[in-house]
Amino acid sequence: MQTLTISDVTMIYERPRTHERFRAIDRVSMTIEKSSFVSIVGPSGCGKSTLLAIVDGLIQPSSGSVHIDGRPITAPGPDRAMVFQEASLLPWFTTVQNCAYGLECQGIPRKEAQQRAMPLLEMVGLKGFEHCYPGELSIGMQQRANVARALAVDPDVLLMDEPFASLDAQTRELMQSELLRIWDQTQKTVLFITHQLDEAIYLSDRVLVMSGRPGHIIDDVVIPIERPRSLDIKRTPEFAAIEQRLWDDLRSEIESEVAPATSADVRS
Amino acid sequence: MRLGVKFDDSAEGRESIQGGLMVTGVVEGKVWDPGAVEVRAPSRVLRWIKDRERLLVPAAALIVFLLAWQLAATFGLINQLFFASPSGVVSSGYHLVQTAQFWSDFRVSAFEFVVGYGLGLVSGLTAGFALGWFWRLRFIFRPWVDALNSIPGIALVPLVLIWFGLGFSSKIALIFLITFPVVVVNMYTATSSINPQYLRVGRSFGCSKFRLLRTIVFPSIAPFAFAAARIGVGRGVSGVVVGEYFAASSGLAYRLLQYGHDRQTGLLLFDALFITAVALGAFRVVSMVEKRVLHWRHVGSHSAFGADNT
Repeated sequence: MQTLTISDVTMIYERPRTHERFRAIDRVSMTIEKSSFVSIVGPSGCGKSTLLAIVDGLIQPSSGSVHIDGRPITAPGPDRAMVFQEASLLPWFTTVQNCAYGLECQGIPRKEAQQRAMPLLEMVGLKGFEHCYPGELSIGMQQRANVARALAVDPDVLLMDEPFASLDAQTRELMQSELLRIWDQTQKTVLFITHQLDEAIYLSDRVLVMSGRPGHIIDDVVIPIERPRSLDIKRTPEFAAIEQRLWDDLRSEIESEVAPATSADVRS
Repeated sequence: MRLGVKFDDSAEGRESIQGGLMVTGVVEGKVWDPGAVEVRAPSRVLRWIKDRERLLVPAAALIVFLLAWQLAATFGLINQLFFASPSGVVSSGYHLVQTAQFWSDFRVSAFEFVVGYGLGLVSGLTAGFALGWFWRLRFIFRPWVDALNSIPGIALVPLVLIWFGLGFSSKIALIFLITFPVVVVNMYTATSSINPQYLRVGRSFGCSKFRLLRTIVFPSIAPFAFAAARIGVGRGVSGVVVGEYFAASSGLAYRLLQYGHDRQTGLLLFDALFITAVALGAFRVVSMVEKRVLHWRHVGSHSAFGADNT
């Protein structure tokens, strides 16, 4: 694929009981080039995950569309794969069976699917754990398997929904540099959602800032830091400047979401 | 000198007579070697006992209880007419199992149980899944199933007798009616609480409806199915007893009434214990099958028994 185009995507939800309608995403547009790493940051509940689900084809937008090389997206397909926030490996399958799952869904016979999955497991650093059950793996390892599962179907676009959110700080840093290593090797197009600004800057070529609900893009920052990037660049002034800019963009969004308590509230 | 207390979590440490507690100290900057302290190693017998604590303690308690019971009976503290001694139970049982009638009773009860329970389980699993999966079916049938589940089995007996008479079919129908609802309730609860994240994974990789059922839905509800099977055993046995009390002329539970009537408490107790043992055996069979089929639940430290993945 060459380009992923999101045009004017809007998502309106209706609350089940009150039938009150609210706009989750409001006219989001972006163009993503092949093999680029793009992050989206934004406050909680701003619709980032919804956007990703729309790109994956799991949800249909209320209006607007998503195209890959001009072809509209209406359903999940082999050219996109999602890496979910919780590891969501199926606990009744071994690691290699889990990684082969996407391929089997495409109709590839079990043996061949597992053969294709094995080298990927090695690439994400899980050699030797192929026949363990997810219950025997740590969360970091489960997330690696999650990534391997998405890579196994050889998608054009990798959609990552806060994949490192449930990891502790050290494992998180490790996984970030691992992800860059894998991305460097596979040259996939990545759309990455995160809350952590440093994570977004470290990983991406471009960071898009999304506002609070209704979510729309309020900034588009190109990250000029050269690759390959080591974790040390997080402590350079250049990095800090970009982080400051993103934080300033987000500050007003977050503050309006977390409404300050007035003295009236406190008294009652 | 500073003293500290440390816990030695190694296998050796835990097995040591101090139970793994180590006292360490620093004497003027030098580390005190706890190995220099003389420790008495536990004797082999004590070791053997400690390893089998879990089994030996209840076994010992049981032996004490049986002894007390036997002594109470022998010395006339218990009227043997009302409550046979262990030796009475054993001798009655010994004679009983040599009679043909006992085994024909056993066959009768076993047949009723297997057919009634089998029908109840299979149809319960199917119906329960259907109710969980198709919300329209659930809206229609759930009140009925919940009502049937709340009725005590005994209350169903008069109706069953009218419908099915006094033969095998009435007993089987009763067992079915007692087992079926509890399995259905278990299964529709399970089906409606499948982790939606797993379903998203399936959909995200574009799997077919059939594959979704096979690889995500059924494995998710399998643990509940086995739980239902276990509960069903209890219900099924209860159904056998109720059925034979009211509508039978043979069968192990029928004999309970007979022995009671004839005040043959030795036979009575033996019969009751035998029924219990068989029920426990059925229970164990279900558990063993589960351990094999659901072997993935029994591995690892992060085993799948947590609240998010029952």
